[in-house]
Amino acid sequence: MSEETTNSTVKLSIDGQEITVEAGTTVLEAARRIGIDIPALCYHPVLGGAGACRVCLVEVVAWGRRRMVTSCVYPAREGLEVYTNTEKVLRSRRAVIAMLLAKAPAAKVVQELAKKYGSTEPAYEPSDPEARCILCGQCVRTCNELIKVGAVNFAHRGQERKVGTPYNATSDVCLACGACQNLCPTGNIRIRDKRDLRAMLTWHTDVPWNKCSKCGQSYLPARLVEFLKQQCPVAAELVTICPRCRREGTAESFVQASVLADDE
Amino acid sequence: MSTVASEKLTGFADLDALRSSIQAQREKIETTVVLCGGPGCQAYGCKAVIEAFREALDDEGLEESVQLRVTGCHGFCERGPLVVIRPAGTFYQGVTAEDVPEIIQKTLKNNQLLDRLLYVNAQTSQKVQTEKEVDFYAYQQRIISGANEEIDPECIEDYLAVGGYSALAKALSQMKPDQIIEQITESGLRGRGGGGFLTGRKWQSCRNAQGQPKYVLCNGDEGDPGAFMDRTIMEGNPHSVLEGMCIGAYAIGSNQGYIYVRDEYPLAVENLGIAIQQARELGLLGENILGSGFDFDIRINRGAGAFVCGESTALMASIEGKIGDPRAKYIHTTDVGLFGKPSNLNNVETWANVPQIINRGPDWFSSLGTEHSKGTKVFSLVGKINNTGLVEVPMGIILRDIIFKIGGGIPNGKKFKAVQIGGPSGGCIPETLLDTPVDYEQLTDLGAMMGSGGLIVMDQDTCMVDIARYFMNFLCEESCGKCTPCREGTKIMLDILTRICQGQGTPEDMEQLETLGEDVQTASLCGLGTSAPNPVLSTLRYFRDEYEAHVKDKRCPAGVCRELISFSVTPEACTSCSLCVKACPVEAISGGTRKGKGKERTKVPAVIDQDKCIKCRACYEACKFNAVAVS
Amino acid sequence: MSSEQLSSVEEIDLAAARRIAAEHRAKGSSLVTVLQDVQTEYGYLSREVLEVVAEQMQVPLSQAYGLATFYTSFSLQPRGRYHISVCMGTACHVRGAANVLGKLERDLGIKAGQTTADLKHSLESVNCLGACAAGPIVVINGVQHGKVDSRKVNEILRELD
Repeated sequence: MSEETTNSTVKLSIDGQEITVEAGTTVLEAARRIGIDIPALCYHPVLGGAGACRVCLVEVVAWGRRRMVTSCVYPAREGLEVYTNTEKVLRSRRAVIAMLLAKAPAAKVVQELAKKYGSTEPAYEPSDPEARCILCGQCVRTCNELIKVGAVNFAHRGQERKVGTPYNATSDVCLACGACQNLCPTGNIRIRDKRDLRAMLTWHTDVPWNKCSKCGQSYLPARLVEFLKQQCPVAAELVTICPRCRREGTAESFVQASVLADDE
Repeated sequence: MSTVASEKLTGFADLDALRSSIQAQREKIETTVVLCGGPGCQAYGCKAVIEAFREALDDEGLEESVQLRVTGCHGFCERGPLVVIRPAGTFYQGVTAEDVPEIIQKTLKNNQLLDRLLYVNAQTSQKVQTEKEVDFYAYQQRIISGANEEIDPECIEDYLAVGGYSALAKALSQMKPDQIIEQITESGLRGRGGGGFLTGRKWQSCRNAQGQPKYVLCNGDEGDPGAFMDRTIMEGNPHSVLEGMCIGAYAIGSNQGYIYVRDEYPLAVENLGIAIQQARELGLLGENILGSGFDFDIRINRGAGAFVCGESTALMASIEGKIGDPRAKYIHTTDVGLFGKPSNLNNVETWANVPQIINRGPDWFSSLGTEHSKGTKVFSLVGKINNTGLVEVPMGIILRDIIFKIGGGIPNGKKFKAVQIGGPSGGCIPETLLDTPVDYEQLTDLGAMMGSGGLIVMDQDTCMVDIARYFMNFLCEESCGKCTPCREGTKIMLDILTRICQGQGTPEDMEQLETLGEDVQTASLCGLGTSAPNPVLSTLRYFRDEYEAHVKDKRCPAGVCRELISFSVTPEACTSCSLCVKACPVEAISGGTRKGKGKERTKVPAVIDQDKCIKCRACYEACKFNAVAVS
Repeated sequence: MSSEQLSSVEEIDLAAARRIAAEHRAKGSSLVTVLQDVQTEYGYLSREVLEVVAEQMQVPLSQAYGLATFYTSFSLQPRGRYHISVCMGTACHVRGAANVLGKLERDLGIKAGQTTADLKHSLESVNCLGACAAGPIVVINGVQHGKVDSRKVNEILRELD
């Protein structure tokens, strides 16, 4: 492998280790690629970083200047030196984790970080001991940027900032797809699958199941089925069938096809 | 007042011809009454004065021979409403509607001065006739704000009469974009919004950036509490901003501009809107400006009440119709800004400087100021100061001169304590450092910053812990809430400061404030967060003894923090005038009256019922005999 | 539009909201601008109005709601006939703005951010109105009052009837 960098790649060093990555790669992603762990709560490989939680701060030296940057959004640059474990970095990381622990004391991921960075005792009185949400915004970005439905968003600002549905009331558009829960780092989003419906408890929204057009079994929230039909009209028929029937259907057609082949 | 009808100007010669004809017509006007309509004068009721002049001139049949000009802020807000009568330049202050008939009879018709409306210079105790002689203006250099008096903001002809749009014509007809950027860079002009980035360099980055279209933006979201410089420029001389933006757009290669104005400034929105419309009609904005082939137009966006939208990326998000969340600026907005396109954002005052530099040259500009801070700076001088108002001074002037020579010192013989500079991102500077010059770097070294230009003077009755708590509360309310340290850290700091103000603070609290302050500075996302601890850290640095008094002695030396003070009446000093009794909103004061008649008449001193007292200070402020004591 | 009409939510005519949003959409205006004009029309942003705007502008309701709650100049509640803003800027603060606000709160029987039950007064504190030289400043329906103290509050309130 050539050591030379091209226009589309850059070479940087992270804690003394050199690495060449594609231009546009963030420092966080570059570090993780060589096994250097930088904690990050508002980053997800699918969504990228938001620069919001601030636990991923690292020190960089660029153009002779040393400064703290947010690694989840800081682009890797040619000749960049990155330090992920300096005293300054650790102090700031501990400080942010202590603040998050006061905000969301029940969030497991925050508790674990606090333990790892040696700040298990809450430094500040939490306002709600049950709280889990750290306002990383991953649910908001998932719903708006990935699913493009926008059932939830940020509301209010500063201390009052919250994620939720408008008026914190039942949503008319939530698909109950559960993608937000998948990407939430703190386990704040609660979903309960009941007999007739999927309850998006955190979003105060119940969406009934769609029944399979073949076997009548519940398999996907009805709104999600409608959404998928619109998104992918060619597969409209496919999504009205439950996965089991779909598998059986596929198997059947295979069998038929092979019978036909044998006949020939 | 529109007097010269004109069609769209299609060439540079057309502009000169129009200007000449306006000037010729202006020369025929014998008398002009200039009325300040700035925010200070408005609060003092100048609208009634303006109406009175209109009616009286009409009644007297003088509406033809006397021109009435309502302008933007003249600066000396303390003495408003202000009236200047030209050509003599007679300066009347504190004018009321009742004074108007006499002004017309005596001064306008008979050239007599109205003694009572003249200003008395504080140091010499001499009455002066003209504005030029007023001490408040003597130490100023008003290259940006001075034109306000010449211009009715609703009248583009006034701006043309004083040479308006000649810089634009010069730029378009004689200069190449690179030359303009070079001159702006050479002039040393730095961002007046607070950051102090070199304007020419920013323009160059945006010009060099890949991507089209490019945008030029004007930051009129003057959010710093205690600052109103940009407001007076937008309201009083909107064309100077438009002209600056137009020149900048030509240099950068942009055809579309945006002005983002605070929602609290409806008059600025109105006047800018009128100015844009008039400039379009004359072909000074729009397609093919002055026949040069260059197109540029401007849209106005109103803010909606969010301090954070003064931050560049939040401002752009807000123009795009989103919530004002800032983003990291590792990729500069000059590369990826508004709508993802290269964007150049400058503050109102920065833009207003541009035509001056183009007209008078970079050498002239850089001859003003210090080595690294050039030109002038407009400040709003407010708080506990005799001459509140808008001042424009050359960079490098020391703070002491602004406060004592221009500002006339502290009212009521009280003692100066601190001057707050740079708004919520700035700091409080004590008496011992007042000889610091106005200079970006030197102010930053003190833990303050130039900021946009609010200078809030504080006297012995201001509690510095309360001020720190005030700013922290402000920032807590204004934090967008996106990043953890600014959202959570400011709240924790506010809680600590509130505890200290209530007398429940501990020495550890002071240490924690310092540690947390540093952490919030390091870890926050945008400028709001990274500078949020400044007011706390600077007061801890210069006024630590006040914190200690609150923490150790449970005492508020300035007599402000309610939980730590009580009010009482000194019987010997009380004249039983009953002013305090009337002022008390909760009927906590008894006595304070006179009993009996004639020789039998006796005074009953006022007494404050401590259980009922809500410590609102109303009695303290009402008492004219210093009989109400704070302890 | 009078406050009586504002108080009965069911009677709100949504045509204006629809028209304003459609006009702005054609012009390419931002959602913030639309909400500002719609609020000027109705005095506040009711849920029905917000829904209409979101639909017309083809954005999720959550986005419109997010904006309406982020920016302080938007109100989700009807405001009083007299909208009283007390400036809490630094210059006003050092000259006793907190006492002015306290006095108004006591006299009107509401806290900042609230409206009286008869929809006559609403009170809010604002972070600097930019008329610092004449502080403390109180603005009532756009009219500025300078150098306000407890006594002047009495005068101002008397004039409102």
